Order: sequence, then structure tokens, then C-alpha cells
Amino acid sequence: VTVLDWLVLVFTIVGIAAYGTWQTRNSSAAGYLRGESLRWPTIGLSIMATQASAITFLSVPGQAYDDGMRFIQMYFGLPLATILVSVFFVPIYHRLKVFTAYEYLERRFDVRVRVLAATLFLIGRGLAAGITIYAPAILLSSVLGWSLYTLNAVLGGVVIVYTVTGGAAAVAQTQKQQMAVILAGLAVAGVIIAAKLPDGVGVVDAARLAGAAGRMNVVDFSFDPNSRYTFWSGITGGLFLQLSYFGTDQSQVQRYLGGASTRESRLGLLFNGILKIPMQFSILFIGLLVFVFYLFEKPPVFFDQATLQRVEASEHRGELQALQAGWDEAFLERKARAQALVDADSDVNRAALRTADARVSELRGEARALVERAVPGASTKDGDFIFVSFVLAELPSGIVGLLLAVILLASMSSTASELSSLGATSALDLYKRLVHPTATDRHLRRAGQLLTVGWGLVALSFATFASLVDNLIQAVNILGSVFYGVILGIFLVGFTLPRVGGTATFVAALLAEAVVVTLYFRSDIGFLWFNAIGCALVIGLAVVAQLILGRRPAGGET
Amino acid sequence: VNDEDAGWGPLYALVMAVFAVEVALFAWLTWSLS
Repeated sequence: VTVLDWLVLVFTIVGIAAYGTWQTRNSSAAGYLRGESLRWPTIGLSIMATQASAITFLSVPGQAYDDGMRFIQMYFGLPLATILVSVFFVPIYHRLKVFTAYEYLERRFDVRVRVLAATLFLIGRGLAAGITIYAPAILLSSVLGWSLYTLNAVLGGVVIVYTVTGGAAAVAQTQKQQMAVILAGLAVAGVIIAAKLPDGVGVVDAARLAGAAGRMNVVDFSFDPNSRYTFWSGITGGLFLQLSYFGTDQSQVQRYLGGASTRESRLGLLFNGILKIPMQFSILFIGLLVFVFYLFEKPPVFFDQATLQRVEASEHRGELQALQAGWDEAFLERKARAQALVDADSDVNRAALRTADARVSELRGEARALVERAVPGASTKDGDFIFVSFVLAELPSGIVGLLLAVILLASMSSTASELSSLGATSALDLYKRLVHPTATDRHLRRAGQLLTVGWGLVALSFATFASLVDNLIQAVNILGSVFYGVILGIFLVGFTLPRVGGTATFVAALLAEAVVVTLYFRSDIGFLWFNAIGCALVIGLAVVAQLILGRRPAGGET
Repeated sequence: VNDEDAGWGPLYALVMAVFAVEVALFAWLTWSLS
């Protein structure tokens, strides 16, 4: 990391935060709590920036490197989810002029259901906010040798300053510029990596090489329930995940509630419905380009260098050296096979590359096993280190700073949405509703600020004291899934079953949450399905509970 | 259907059409390159 990198890094991070803070320093209470009069490009970018966290840029290319493109199928439910949210959720939220998604639940059911859903959101999102800061910070502190505490404090501190000062308005304002830097950084990275491929290897060759090595597995139409990412799990389980995320998670709902009209909110959502999959495809494809680059340049056998050094310093050093010798050989063999395939594309050459790559993967597996033996307790999952170590080792000065900025801005933009929505939800759904119903706008804005600071400190403490979670991206998704399905179920009962009342829904939600948490601890069901299960349980149990409680006149806000 | 809800069908259809094209493209990539 050079002086130029530092300049780029500090300029983008501090500059954007300072500009956003300045622009929105006098935001109204409404602007503070949910944004105000936003146009669709702002909403669209804000939604995108919220969903794309640093984990996206750290984990996803690594996922493509090891596992290929199939992760993209996780997002196959997203286009339909944005449409369903536009059709069913947006008009209701706008008509009722709510500030949080959970406010609707009181109009439709009662205050208990509202407070329950808000509380589930606060717990789930409050924990996730810690991970959003922690995940990239622990990685970057290890790779760059920066202090984890300083990194946490600086990043968290900057986010807290602008989120607390300008609230949702500042979040939307900063996310526009953050997203511009992120997209530009990705484009630059893609072009430079493609240019770094050996002479005679273009992007098309790269795709062919990746395909021959089994990485071009973009869609899988098989019905194999053991395969985590298939077309079918994407459009079913993935749909529930995205629907609950965009429809009921205040960190997303807050992004489009401030739309100037239903039209602006819908267009902002549909913008993501169209662009999200191409964006994820690009990030995965960058991971594939890194993979192809390392077909010709020798990669480390294990990408987490700090842990590898600990193996070197241990009594297992000899084993590591033996492994390295085999690694050098396997790399040269695979390189020769890759070159042969570039020279002549034939089934024989493709099969030879696949065999050579299988040997390399096998040695990577052995390296992980060695790490596990030599450094007990260390994470053996080095996938999250692949992209950032590539950036640091191979990209030119200035661009390194730009890509570090991309990762840090992504972390900040997601954290900002989370903190702002946590602050607004606790201020409105809990504080105003339960403690101080007559609070003035001024008072509420101040309460929102204090609560946002509080959530910021909670997230920061979590980020500082948590120990490394095995797989970062999954940890966040799992946390969400344990609560999301139930919250979505409550909303769907509200929209579609006018005869089911608050008591039945409240009881059903509590039971369903208990079942989902039990399943989480006691079963090996994939986390993607918790959403569908939680949602279906709430709906089913609410109907049964209402039948037991007796008929209720149809009505309520739908 | 409120006024503001009218006329959105074509845009929703466009979003799904883009998705269908993407899936077709991905299927072709998977099939032709694997």
C-alpha cells in the first residue's frame, strides 16, 4: 500500500462522508428517519449499496475461484421479489405514510405484532451490523497488518458520524457516491485483470479455460437437494429470502419509503431487479479472471498468508515444505495443460486441464488439513482472502487504494443503512410507541440520533470482540434467515388473510420462531430454507389459531 | 386498482424478460463452456 493508495483511500472515504454529512446536516425529522422526496436513481443505488457489503467483494470472487459461478443462482429470486414488493408492499406503505415497515403491522393487527416484528428485526439486524463491520475488518487487518481495533474504530466511527448527523437522508446521499466509486472500481479491476492475462489469452479464452476447469457452472437445473445452489433453490428459497429482505427488513424498506411517490420507490426497486444479477455476475466473473490469471502465475497454496506463516513456524514446517514441492509441480502441470488448451481447444485438452486442476484442488485441500493440524482453531477457509491478496500482490499503486476503498465503502454503505434503520425502528416502533407517544419531531430526531449512536456502539463492540465466524457470507445470511421468514409470514398474513387477527398472528409468530430456532440448532436443513419454513409456519399456524379463537369479522387495513 | 398502480404491467414483464434472457444466456454459457 503506497502513499498514492492512501490518498485515494482517504479521499474517497472521508470525502464522501464529509460531503454527505454537510449536505444533510439540517435534514428534517422525516428526512432523518426515512429519507424524503427521493428520486428513483438515488433509491436504486441506495438499495444496491445496502445489499452489497464488503463481504460481497471479499467472498464472492473467492467463491468463483474455488467453486465456480453457481453462487449467482442465490439471486435468481430477486427480480420477482422486487416486482412483488412493488405490487404489494410499496403501495400499502405509501398509502399509510408509514415510517417503518412494522408501523403497518399495528394498523393491520395490533401493537403487540408490531413490537414483536420490530424486536425480531432489531435483534437479527443488530447482530448482522456487527458482522458487516467485523468481517472485512478482520480480513483486512490480517492482510494489511493494520490493527483490527483501529480499523473498526475508524470505519465504524466515520459511519456513525454521518449516519447520526444526517440520518437516512445522509445515508442515501453518501450511497450514491459510494456506489459510483464501487462500480467504477469493479470496472477498472475487471479491465486490468483481463489485461494481465498472458499474451494470447483474451477474455473469451479465459471463459473457455474456466469452463474446462468446471468453473462455468452458472446454472444447474438438477433437482439434487444436496446441491446448495441450483436454479430451483434460487427461484424458491432465494425468492423468500429476497422477498423478506426487500419487503420487511427496515434496512431496505427505509431506502424506498423516502421515495417522492410510489413510482419512484418502484422504479428504484426494479432498477435492482434488472441490474443486480448482472452486477453479481461481473463480481463472480472477476473471480474467474483471477482464477485464470493464477493458471499462468503460481498462486499460494493457501491464501491466508498470516496463518500460513504460523504453519511455517510450527513443527509441521517439514510437511508444508513437502506440500509446496508437490504444489510447484502440480501448478506447472496445470499451466502446461492450460496453455495446451489455449493453443488447441479439444476434448482431450479440456479433460487434461480438468485432471490437472483436480490435482491442484486436492493439494489445496491438503493445505487446509495441514493448517487445521498445525494451527488448531485457525480458520481453514481461505477463500475470502483470494481477491484481496490478488489485489495487493498484482495490481498497480493507486488501483490498490481504489479497490481497498471499494471494499471499505461497501462495508460503510451497508453499515450505514443498518444503523440508520436500527435507530429509526427503535425510535419509532419502541420509544415513540411505548415510551413517549407525544414526542415532537425535534425530540424524535434527537432520540433517533442517540439510538443510532447506541446501535453503532453495539455493532462496534460486537465487531471488536467477536471471534472469526467460519464463513462470513453465510453467517450473515443465516442470521437473517432465522428471523426473516417469520417476519415475512406476519406481513403475508396481513396482506392476504383479512380474517386473521392480531392475537392469532402474534401466537403463530412466537411458535414459528421457536420452531425455526430449534431447527437451526437441531437439524441440518440448509439456511436458505428457514425463510420459506418460517413464513409458511406463521401463515399455517395463524390460520389454525384464528379457527381456534373463533371467527373474526373481516377488516383491517390491507 | 388505483391510478398509480395502472400501467406497470409492461415494466414488470420487462424485468422478468431480462431475467429470462439472463438465464438463457447463463444456460448457454454453462452448456457451451463446460
